[in-house]
Amino acid sequence: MLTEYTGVLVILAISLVLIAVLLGIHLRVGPRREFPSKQDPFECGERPVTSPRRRIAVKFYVVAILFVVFDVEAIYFYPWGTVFRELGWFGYASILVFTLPLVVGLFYEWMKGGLDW
Amino acid sequence: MVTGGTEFDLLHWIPLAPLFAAVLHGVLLVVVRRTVSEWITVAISCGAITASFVISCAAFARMVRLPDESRLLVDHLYTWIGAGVGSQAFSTELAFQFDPLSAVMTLVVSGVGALIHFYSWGYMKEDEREDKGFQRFFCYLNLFSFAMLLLVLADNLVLMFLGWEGVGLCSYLLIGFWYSDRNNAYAGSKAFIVNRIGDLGFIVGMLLLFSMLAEAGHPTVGFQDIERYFAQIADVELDLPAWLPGGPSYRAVNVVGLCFFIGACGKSAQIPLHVWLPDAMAGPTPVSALIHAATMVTAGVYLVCRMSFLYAAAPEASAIIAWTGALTAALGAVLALVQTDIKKVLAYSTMSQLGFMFVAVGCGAYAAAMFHLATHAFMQALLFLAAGSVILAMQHEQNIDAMGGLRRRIPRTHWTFLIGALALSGVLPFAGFFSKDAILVAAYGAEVAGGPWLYRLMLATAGLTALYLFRLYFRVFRGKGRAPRGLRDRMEDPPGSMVVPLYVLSGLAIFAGLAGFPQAWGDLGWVDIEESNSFANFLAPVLAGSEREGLAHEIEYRLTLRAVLAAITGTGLAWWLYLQRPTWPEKIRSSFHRLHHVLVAKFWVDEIYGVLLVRPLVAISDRLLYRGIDAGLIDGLLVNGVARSIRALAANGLRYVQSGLIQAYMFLMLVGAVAIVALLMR
Amino acid sequence: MIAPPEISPSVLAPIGFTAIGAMVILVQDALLTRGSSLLGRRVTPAYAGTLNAFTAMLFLSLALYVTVVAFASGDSLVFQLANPVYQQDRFGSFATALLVVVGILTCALSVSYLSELGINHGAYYALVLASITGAIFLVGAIDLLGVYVGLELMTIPIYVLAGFDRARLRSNEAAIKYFVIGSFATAILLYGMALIYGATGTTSFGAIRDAFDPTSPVAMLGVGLILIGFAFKIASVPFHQWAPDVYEGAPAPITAYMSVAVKAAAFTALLRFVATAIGPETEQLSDVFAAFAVLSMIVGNLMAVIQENVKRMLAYSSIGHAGALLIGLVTGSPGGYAAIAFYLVVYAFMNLGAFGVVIALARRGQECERVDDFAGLARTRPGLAAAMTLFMLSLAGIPGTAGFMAKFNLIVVAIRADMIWLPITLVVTSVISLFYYLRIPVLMTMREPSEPPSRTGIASGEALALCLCAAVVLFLGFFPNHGMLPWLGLELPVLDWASDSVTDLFGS
Repeated sequence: MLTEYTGVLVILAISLVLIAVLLGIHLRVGPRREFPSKQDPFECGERPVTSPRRRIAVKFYVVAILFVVFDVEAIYFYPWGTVFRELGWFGYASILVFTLPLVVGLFYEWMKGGLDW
Repeated sequence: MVTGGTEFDLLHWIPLAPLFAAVLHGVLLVVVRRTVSEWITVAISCGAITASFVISCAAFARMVRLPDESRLLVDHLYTWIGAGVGSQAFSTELAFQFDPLSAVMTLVVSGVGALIHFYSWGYMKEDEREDKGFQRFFCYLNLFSFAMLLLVLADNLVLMFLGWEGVGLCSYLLIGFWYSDRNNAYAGSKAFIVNRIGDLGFIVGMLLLFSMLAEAGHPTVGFQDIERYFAQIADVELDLPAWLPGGPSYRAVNVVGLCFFIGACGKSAQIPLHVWLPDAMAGPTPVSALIHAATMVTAGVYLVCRMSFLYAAAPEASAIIAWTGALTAALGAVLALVQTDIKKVLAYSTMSQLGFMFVAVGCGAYAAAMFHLATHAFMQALLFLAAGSVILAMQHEQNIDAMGGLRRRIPRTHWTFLIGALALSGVLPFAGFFSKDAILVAAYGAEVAGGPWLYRLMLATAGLTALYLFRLYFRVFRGKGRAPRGLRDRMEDPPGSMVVPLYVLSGLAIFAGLAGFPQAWGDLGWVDIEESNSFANFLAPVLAGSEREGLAHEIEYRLTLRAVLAAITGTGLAWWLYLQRPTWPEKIRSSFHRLHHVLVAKFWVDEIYGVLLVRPLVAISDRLLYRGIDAGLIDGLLVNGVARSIRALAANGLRYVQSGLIQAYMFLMLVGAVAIVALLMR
Repeated sequence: MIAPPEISPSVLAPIGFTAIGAMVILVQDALLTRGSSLLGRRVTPAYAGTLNAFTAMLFLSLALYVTVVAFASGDSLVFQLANPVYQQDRFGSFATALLVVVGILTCALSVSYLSELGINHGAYYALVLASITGAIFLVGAIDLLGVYVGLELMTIPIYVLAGFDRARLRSNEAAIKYFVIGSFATAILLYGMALIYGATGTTSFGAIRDAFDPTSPVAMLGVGLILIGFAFKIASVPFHQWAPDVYEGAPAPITAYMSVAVKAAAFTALLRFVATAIGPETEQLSDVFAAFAVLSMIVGNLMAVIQENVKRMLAYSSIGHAGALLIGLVTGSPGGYAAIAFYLVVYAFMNLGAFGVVIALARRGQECERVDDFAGLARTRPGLAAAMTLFMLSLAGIPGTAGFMAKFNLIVVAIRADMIWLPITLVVTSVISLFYYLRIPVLMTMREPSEPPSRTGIASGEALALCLCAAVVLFLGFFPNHGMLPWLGLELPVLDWASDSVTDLFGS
């Protein structure tokens, strides 16, 4: 039953062999020299000004996450809005159930000071 | 399942009351760190055993109001072990039965038990100081009472075996009660191990009997049912190895009977399992009185009587029992003559009297055996308790060579001891006379191989009984005082709680014999013939062979005369030798010093067992079983070796797979996924 | 106008209570910290935490009540929007009740532990409730999408909870590890669902059953990938490696919750999936489960032997128990499934109990995690030592404890199904497990305590939870089925309940 997948297997094998061969050639043939600028992070050819391992305020993540959450929420409102009348009260109730946890979350976030920068 | 019988709900409280007391003591011992006050301890213990006795009396009163044939009280608690269905259904009930046989035992055990509990109060007082000994002692004593009452009230073999083992355990605990002395601990172990050998016989007998009954279609262990269906298996033959004498085919009842008798031998100290009883005197004296004189050691006799229907159908086994009993009786009497330890004399006397009882059951006179069992319980307990008073007065000196002339120092003890000695010697109006006479009559008329010699041996032993008892009496209470002066002046009778039990037992030792007035004496016109020997009549419904025809009365008178003469001769001889000619015993001893040596060494039975059995067994156990198989093979190779290799496997192999790196984990997941998919799609 | 579907409110009642409870706790916590005093007491973090825990337990109790009512009624109700998504039947209710009880015990065990660590935030209980909501949805899901939603709703809060002790590196490591590997596993699961949908054209269990073709490689590949997703959740070898690291790092109550509730929910969902969507008698499945079972029992129990950390040891022991549970799946019979259901109940209580003792011993700054910390406990904390001994004996499967009954049941079922090697493996690995289970009682009784106990008291929540666990372990050990409490007029035939509930899966 697996015969129909033979092609996949062949491709898999060929790709594995190819990877092995290429890496092997690189290991055998390629010269290996190390100097400081080679160790630098690559920034489009420019020399880095500061260390990239800088701390970023955790507030940033909180705001970003909140943004994503409500952004996605908004996406759900659009299809609901277009058929709002056909869905009737049931649709209204559904979207309320959908919104309530988000509102509660926002409230919690707010009261806990998550939105204070 | 017991069928029939009258329900009596209180019955199970007879054994359970002491059990609860023991458990309560146990809880107090473990939970309460301080020593509990003496009064509380005594109240719990004595209260429980007295309650047992009162309920026993109530049960007895209830039972005697029933007609003769249906004198059976039952109390069914619950099904203990249930197995099988339909015709193969088998159940062991936790149920008690109270028939005349149980009644005699229960009354003796709880009655004498209660007296000895009270006696122990005074006797064990000085143990209060250390290690909670006082309370521990009463805890064990209650536990023993429970086990013993369970044994006598059980309605089936399995439950009886539970009590049987329980009394063995308590015996072990109490013999080794003063365990700080190594010899006491050894004595306890010896008693326990010798008893285990007998228990093997009990188990084999029980299983054989059960398998035969099951083959006949009645898988049961209840006494009532066994008796009912016994006729169906009475003629079964068993094939045993051909090298056994008299084979190759045996009547099964003989084999079963002998197996049970081996069990009885262990418990009741009969040859060849008698060696533990003298050593058991290492325990406190009340223990010797209760366990090793009055109750536990008689369990073997009770077992045989309980199975009397079986023994009545097994004459060969009965003959062996009779002769074993006779030899034990004689051996005990002879050895008692040379002992110098007051308790050991009484221990051999117990052994000898138990031999008398086995002679009786071997001759089919089960009622006589039970009668002697009851009177012996009173008399021997009395002697032991009196001896305990002597020992207390002598400040734990037990050697009779250091006593003498105690009559005036401890008069109450003296009188009670004298009554006990007279009774056990079989002097006329006392209890021992009637019961021993019944056994001698039975031995005379027995249809046993070597019957006449059996009777002669027993008659001689009866004479010896009087001799060694009065040797003891005269050495201890009469003659010149050999105790140190200071000790003699401080001697006094024990306090009331100890004397009252002595008085009660004295009364019983005097009058209990009247319960078994010989049938023959009815002719003399002193008593109404119908009323005479009411003890045997009482037991008749539950014992086999009670309808046997008695001897002609003229012969019985002659036998009675001989018995009285034997007792008087023994007593007189003791009086002559130990009071009138105190130097003679020493002369006799030196002229027969070889014989004396043999007797003091107890025929080297212990030493022979040591060489033949104990030492090879210990060597095999130690070298082969313990060091070779257990420590070497099982512990070393199988348990620790496997554990070590598992640890090594996990520590050196599997551990490196658990690297802590997420990428490694994911790689393994991938490998696993490929393997799973391959397995699914093969 | 589109007609609204008819929804019986009782179908969603348990989920509703837990979900609303989570939201109520959030609001309450947000309001509490600002208020200066409530009921005459100043609102301290500990006080607020206790109030939150009580609210959580209140809502869980309500959920338990409606679940028990639903179980007693024995009806099967379906929650249907466009497709049937969620079903409330006795099987689901049985598992739901277990999950809710586990939730209550987790909350009870958490209060003082979190206070000691200074992390008694309201979000904790909200997350626990959210996770339970997901778990309940998972056990009742009858659609692959429902399974996915439930699984994620159950798991994501745990990612957070595992890292709840933010000050501790181990806790952070656990959260990250669990999150990364968990996402990986979820991806595999989702891929499997997609393949199934591709092969059958539906995501509904009943419809999958009708269209399923065991010879189709695509369908089998899909099933295999879904199984891997579940095997990850129940921590079965070879998808187990996250478990020891995460169990060790996460706060102890969360470890307890994870090892019990997640396992129970995943197992229940797996049972439902196999029984109603694939067909329990499929032979290839049995082979896979057998492989899982044997590997898990051997690896879990062997690795537990060398652990020096109690939480890690319990993690490996839980892998071993997962292997034992899988034996029931191999049989593919109602008996086997009932044995699993019973085992899950027993395992929940004994494992929660064991973790409960670890929790009760944990104090500020130092968790009582090392095996050596138990030395001499019988002298210093006899009550806890006795409880721990009981739970260890039960986990090892010693007669007289519930653990024995659970294993015995499983072995009986397996032997009835003519399997020999799996029960033998179970017994042999149980013997091996004695080594590490009994090590703790041995240490507790036979070794002198290394240092004086840091605290001698025990919080009332912990005490109640431990007593309940111990009582259940003993009770089920003696009366697995005919447990009668005559003085209460109650009858608790747990085994019957388990076998009744699985008939729903095999009913039609």
